[in-house]
Parts: sequence; structure tokens; C-alpha cells
Amino acid sequence: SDGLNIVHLKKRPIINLVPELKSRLEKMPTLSWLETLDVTTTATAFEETEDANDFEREINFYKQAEKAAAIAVPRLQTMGVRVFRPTDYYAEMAKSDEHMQKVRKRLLETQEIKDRQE
Amino acid sequence: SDTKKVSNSKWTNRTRVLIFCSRGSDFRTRHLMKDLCTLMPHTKSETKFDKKASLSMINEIAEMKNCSKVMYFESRKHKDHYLWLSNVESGPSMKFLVHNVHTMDELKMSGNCLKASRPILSFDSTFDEKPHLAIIKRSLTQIFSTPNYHPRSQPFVDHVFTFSVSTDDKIWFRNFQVVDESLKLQEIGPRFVLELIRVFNGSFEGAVLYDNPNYESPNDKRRVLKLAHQNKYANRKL
Repeated sequence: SDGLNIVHLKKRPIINLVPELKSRLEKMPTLSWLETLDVTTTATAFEETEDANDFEREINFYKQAEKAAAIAVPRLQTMGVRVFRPTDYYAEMAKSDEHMQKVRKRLLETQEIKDRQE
Repeated sequence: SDTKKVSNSKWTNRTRVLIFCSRGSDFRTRHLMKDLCTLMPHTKSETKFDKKASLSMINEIAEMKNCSKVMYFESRKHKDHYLWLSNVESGPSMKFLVHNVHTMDELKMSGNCLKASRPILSFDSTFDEKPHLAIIKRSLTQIFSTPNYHPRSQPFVDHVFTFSVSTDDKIWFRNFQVVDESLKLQEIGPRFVLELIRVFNGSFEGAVLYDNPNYESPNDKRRVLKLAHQNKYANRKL
């Protein structure tokens, strides 16, 4: 309540048109696996609460990605697709060398601080 | 040059994705857009969109740019960021509220990958459990996958895009580098979380197929917070 008046929260009407959603999905074109490289793995359901553990959550994402890579990489290799680039292959990276140097410097610094504490 | 011709002839999936934002977007959104453009060679950009114009104008812009998919970032009040994903030709489209954006520029993410190499897309099985999540999965697959033999892509697969659904139905995005053959991973970034608002039948129009009952607009959230604090002085006096 809000002092004298009882506040009625407006509820959103529930819209979930399941048959329409399903027929909509069927109408969407599908591509071959080699075009999309999508992998679905069983969920390690993680609770999302107010005081959720960030670290645990990130571990879950990592595990999911790891599983997906473990499925997709051998499959690509049997299909004859090159996955890993040769060590002498140079091309533009997503992050610049300058940026990666900064990252490395920061990693070293945090490692040093850890060592000192020990 | 012969081999080049052969590889070009195999480029059959001509999906292009238009990525752009509305006027009044903040730097974080722009950086996220820039990150997505560097990671996805099949994207095109466009000048900022005027929010006063009708959303269905976006369909025409995409058509002129030869794009069949759209990612449109809409900002309100310089602090609330929405993302539209749409399949221009025939729908569907969906609107999300974007939370927790981290860009690739941040120093804590130590991975790196080739610019424009193709990603593995990883979904968790929750996506197949509900019809609206299945539609989202299909749309995400088509938007985020780089077409095979795309001329601007690199011929290697060295990173993974993961999409996970949390118990409160939010979709979490992460990008990992596959470091070497031991399949060790390192995070590259960016990060973001999508909260579904609605799924529409058409592209930026049409009937609402799904409406998230748990969605609370950021305006309402702020209002509730304000109301909770409004009688601070009176309460203290009592």
C-alpha cells in the first residue's frame, strides 16, 4: 500500500502463442551444419539469484564452450575443414598487438602482486 | 588464382547482417557494435537511425543495403539500451533489453582470435525447451554464423560464441578463443546479457507472438526505487 491507497500493479497480459510460434519456426529456413557450425549441449542449469556467484557462472559458460568445441572441432576435422591455423600464418587479429601487450603487462602485474603476497 | 575462383564459387550462403544504432547511443554501445563488426565479416553498418522515424523504415534500409538480417541497437535516455534482432524478408523479429555490456577493449580478457574467422556457435539445451527460445536460437544462429567461404572471412575456426539461458530466462553471450589442439579456451569478449521483451511475427511489425511476463521496464524499476525512498524524511521524523 502507498499511505492511504492500495496500489494495484498493472499486470501484463500473458501472450504466448505456442502454435503460431511453432509454425513460424518451421517456416524459417534451415542451413547446413557447415554454414552455421552450431552445437547444442545439455545445460548445466545455473541459478540466477540476487547474490549469484559470478565465478561459478563464468565457469559454467566456459564448460559449455569447451563441450561445444570438443564436439565441433573433431567433426570439422573429419569433414576436412582446417580448424587451426599454421604457426607461420599471419593475418590481422581481432585485437591489435598493442592491446595484447597491455593485456600481458596487466597479467604480469597481477601475478607479481600475488607472488609478493605469498 | 585458380584456387581462389574455386573457393569463391562455393560461397552460397549470401546472408548479410546490418548492424547499426539509434541516435543518442552511448560509447559502450558503439564499442560493442564495433567489436561485433570486427568479429563478423558478413556485417554491414549504416548511419545512426533517427528514433522519430517509423521502425518499418529499417526494413527498407536493410533492403537497400542487401541485408537479410538486422541487429538494431536502440538507446533511450542515454542509459537504457535495447536490441532488435530481425529477419527482414519475412520476420520474425524480437526486442531485447541489453544488460551488462563489456567490450573487447577491456584488459581482463586475455584471448585473441583472427579478425573475421568463423565461430563455432554453442547453445545450451534450454533453447529447445520453449517455442519462443527455439525461435530466438534459430535467429541467433543465422545472424551470428559467418557463411562458409565468405570472401572476407579467414579459412580457420578459432573461436566459440556461447549463448546460455539462465534460470531467470536471460540470454548470456560470451566469446572464447580455442587456443590450441588441447581445446583450452580463453575469453576474448565482448560480453552482454539479453532480456527478452517480445517476439513479433513480422520484421519490426506484426502480431506479438510472445510477451515476457517477467519483464519490467527500466522506467518502472526506477519508479519503484524512487517511491521506496520518497518518505525518507517523514519516516525519520516519526
